[in-house]
Amino acid sequence: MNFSEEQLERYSRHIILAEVGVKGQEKIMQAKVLIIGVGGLGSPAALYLAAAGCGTIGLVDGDCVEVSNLQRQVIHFTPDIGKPKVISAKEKIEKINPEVKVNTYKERVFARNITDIIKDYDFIIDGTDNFPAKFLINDACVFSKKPFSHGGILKFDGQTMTYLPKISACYRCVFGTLPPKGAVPSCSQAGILGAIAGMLGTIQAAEALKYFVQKGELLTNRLLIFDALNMNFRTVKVRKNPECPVCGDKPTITKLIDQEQPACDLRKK
Amino acid sequence: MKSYNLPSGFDADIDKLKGLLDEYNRGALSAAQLKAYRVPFGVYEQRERDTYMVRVRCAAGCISPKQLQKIADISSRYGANQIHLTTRQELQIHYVKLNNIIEVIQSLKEVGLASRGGGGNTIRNIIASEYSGIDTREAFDVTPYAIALTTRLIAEEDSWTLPRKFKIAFSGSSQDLGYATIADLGFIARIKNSKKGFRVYVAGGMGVKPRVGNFFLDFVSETQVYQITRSVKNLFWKYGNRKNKHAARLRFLWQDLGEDEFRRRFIEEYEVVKKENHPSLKIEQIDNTGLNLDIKPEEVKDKEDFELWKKRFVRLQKQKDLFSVIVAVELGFIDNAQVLKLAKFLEPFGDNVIHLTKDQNFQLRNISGQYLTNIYNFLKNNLANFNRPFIFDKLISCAGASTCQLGICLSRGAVKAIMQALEKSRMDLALLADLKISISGCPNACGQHHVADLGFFGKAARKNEKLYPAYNVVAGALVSDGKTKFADKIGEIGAKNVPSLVEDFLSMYLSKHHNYKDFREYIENCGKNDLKQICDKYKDVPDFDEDKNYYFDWGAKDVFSLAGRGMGECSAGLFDLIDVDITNIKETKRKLLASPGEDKDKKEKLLRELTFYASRMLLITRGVEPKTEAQVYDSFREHFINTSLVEAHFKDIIQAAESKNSPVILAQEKKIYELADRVKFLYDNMDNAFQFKVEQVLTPAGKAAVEGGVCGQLKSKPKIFKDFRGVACPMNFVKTKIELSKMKSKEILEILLDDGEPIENVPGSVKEEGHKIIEQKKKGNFWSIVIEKK
Repeated sequence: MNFSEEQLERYSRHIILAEVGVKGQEKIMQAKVLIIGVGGLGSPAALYLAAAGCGTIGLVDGDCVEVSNLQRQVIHFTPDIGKPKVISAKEKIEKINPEVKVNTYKERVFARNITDIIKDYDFIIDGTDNFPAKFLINDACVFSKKPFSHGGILKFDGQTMTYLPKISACYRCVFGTLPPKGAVPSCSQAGILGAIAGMLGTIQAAEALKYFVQKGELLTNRLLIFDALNMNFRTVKVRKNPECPVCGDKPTITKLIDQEQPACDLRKK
Repeated sequence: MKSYNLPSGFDADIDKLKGLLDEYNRGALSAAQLKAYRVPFGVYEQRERDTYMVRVRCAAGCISPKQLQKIADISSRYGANQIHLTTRQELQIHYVKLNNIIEVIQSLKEVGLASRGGGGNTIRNIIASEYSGIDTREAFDVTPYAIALTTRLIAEEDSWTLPRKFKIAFSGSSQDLGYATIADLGFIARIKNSKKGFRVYVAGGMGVKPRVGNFFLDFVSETQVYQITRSVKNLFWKYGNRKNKHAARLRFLWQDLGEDEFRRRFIEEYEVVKKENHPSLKIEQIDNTGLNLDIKPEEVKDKEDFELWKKRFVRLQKQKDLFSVIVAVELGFIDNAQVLKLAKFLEPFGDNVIHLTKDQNFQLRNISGQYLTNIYNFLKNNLANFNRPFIFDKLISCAGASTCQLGICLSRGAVKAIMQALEKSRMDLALLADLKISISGCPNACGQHHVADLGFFGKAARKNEKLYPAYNVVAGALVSDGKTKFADKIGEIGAKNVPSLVEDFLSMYLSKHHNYKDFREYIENCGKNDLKQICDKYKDVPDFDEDKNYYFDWGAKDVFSLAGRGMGECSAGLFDLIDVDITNIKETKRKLLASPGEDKDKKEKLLRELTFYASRMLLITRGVEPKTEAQVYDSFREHFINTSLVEAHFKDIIQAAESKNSPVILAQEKKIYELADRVKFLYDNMDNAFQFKVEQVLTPAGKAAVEGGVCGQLKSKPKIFKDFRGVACPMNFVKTKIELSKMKSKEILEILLDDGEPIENVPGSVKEEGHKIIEQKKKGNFWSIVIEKK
């Protein structure tokens, strides 16, 4: 690939890095990343991935921008209220980096559409706000053998891990199944410090970029947990579970289903 | 009369636009996304935000009275109070709100008209000589071909996705009244062995880099018009430059490929098109015989005025006892109400009565002699300036800097001033009826100055550091089969002097006209010389303090400035300013050589001037318009030395020139020449976006160093050489990495780096990545590094 003068300038700070360099930047520029949920996590992830020059960014979100989103979903601006989130985000991405190709899917992921949406992408970022979606993304990525980054935030806490097909523990290996209704408070009840979304979303973006350039250690078989109130970070070892219902030796889940659980109340408000 | 047919998928196209507009209104679609579809639909946003212009396609300039009524009706309902006639035989409705666009397009559709292809990279309106079908000299009527080709092309999806706009023109005779020789694709009607056919020209066009169309095919049968068009269009579609819109028109493809390769690829396309078995165009002859009307011929009151009007605007057609009449429209703008009346009045005369002319007037045709009085009476009662010398309404102007982002000068203001001068003058304007005077506010040629008898295009000039509006003066264009040439540049004058120059020059011509057959013959013989002398007379403008008027453009309230101008193709205007200093530098050097050494004071002064011109020359490319000498040097340091575009060691001479330090200036003579060379070198390596591509080429000094064998014992080893002097950290390292990434292990790269930060950082970073530094040597004020790839 031949870089134009403008591209050289734009990506110079990547190219200088020994771990990225010319080849790594080329890989980034050929990469296709899908961000499911263009909210608190998806916003910073999309911004950084666009700035980094990811070749194609897919955005999936069925919602429109609401005023209560603006406190943490930094890709959306006040005049965007009422606009589909995927369009609002696409506009910003094109301003940051017109070289990025953006595909938008103004819909939520369901068992019926997710396989088709993820099939063209190299890496998936889970930026959703509810457990059914998180399990659905996990199961779909296991079935379609797609690497993905899981992320979850609440109050001052965040957690994230990266899944590589066949190699590492999947989300179900660690968490098994949906928590019972009411066991976990929703965002609207518990609240969230906006900056936490930024911290976690950028970690997810960094994982994606590391995956593309094939350098360093991903958060595989490790769960990163942080408590930003006291600023404690730690990683917890996790293992592939041979009895995992989806990626284990004798899987009991063999096709995708939509599970019922109320999504975050905040969105319905 | 049959106009072009709308394609069957047109409703779906409108629905799509409607859907997109809805999405846009809902906020689900960005303005840029909408624009991509809106512009090819002939809908342009005007300078005033949220107002739009709709350009209506009128193939060959044909429009029926019913259609014209509809347009006037649409304009009064949704647009401004005037409609506009374009130089490409179209009609424009201005100031339409976005929410009304669909209504406008639907209403146009009701009368078989479309705006699709009015803008963007599309097949634009196909034009034809306005005298087609009625001209005694034509081989045959080309109008039906323009219409049939329109019908065919607007039904093809790929007509909307070309690399750039594509203009097609038809002429009925070798006079080329349809401008076929300056179109992307031009057809000139001919009869050969009593068969109808065309001579074909390709890859012409005006604009900043104009080109006369190339003679392409001597004779193609009338049945092949579509196949030829299709083949050229395919060629353009496939190979045209989609990246750089400033070098995208077909003429650039012709230049890039060269004639032989262009022709080879054309034949390749033609063979494919032939196999596709497209039907020939469906040519429906147009009736130019006039109707038997149930109207009573009228009397005129002022017989003398009527005869004068006839002389000015009425021409006999090739059809017996039928006449064509020009309805003059000043600068192409006419009130909706007047259009409506005109269209209603003309309805009884049939469908084939109105054509639009390329000089932005209406032409009425097929008027039986007995009704000329009726036409005269109607015009007299309804149009104010219907009977003034034709020269007024042949004047063409672009929109100019008042509404056009790219404009430099206020061309419409200048035209109005010319008109006033002509009105006041006692010249016999009747003798100048055929004279084409055109004026463009910038080099983009929207005012068509390239094909004018006397033309102007705007530029910015400078006197004592103050900018003033000015025009290049051009003259002597000829458009004709095989002979077309663009107007030559004769001189440059301040904008204030344009009306006086026009008046002087036309008087000069009138005083000599009886010696010449026509204006052309005059201009070819002594006209250019006369014009040159008049230009010289008006060349100088007074100082700002002496007469401020010269520093205000026509109709402007503020002192002339380039501030707020867009950076379109018109950036060519800036090149004029650079040229001024290039000439200054040349002149000063010449003087220096001519006065070897005796007069130290004089020499010192010239060297200082040389430093000044070299420092100022490229400042305009950085958006700087320095007002004082001190500002010139300050800006030069800021934009050229501190950015490493010019080597730091030149700082000394800049300072010496600024402080008038004669001993240093005289001692550094050689360096001052080097500075001038360096600036010129930067200019030679500047692209259209004002970026200096110096990193990719050797500097003059670097080239000499390499040729002189600076690399010593390594000279024989195969290696790649790059000069990264003038490239700041960290881009020098980035570029080094790029080079290394292209190489194989153990291959050798030599780079040149500036002293200071670059040499302190880059070699270390290269080593850190595992490559080997074989040699590091200081060469004067820069360094050579030889690297072996790991």
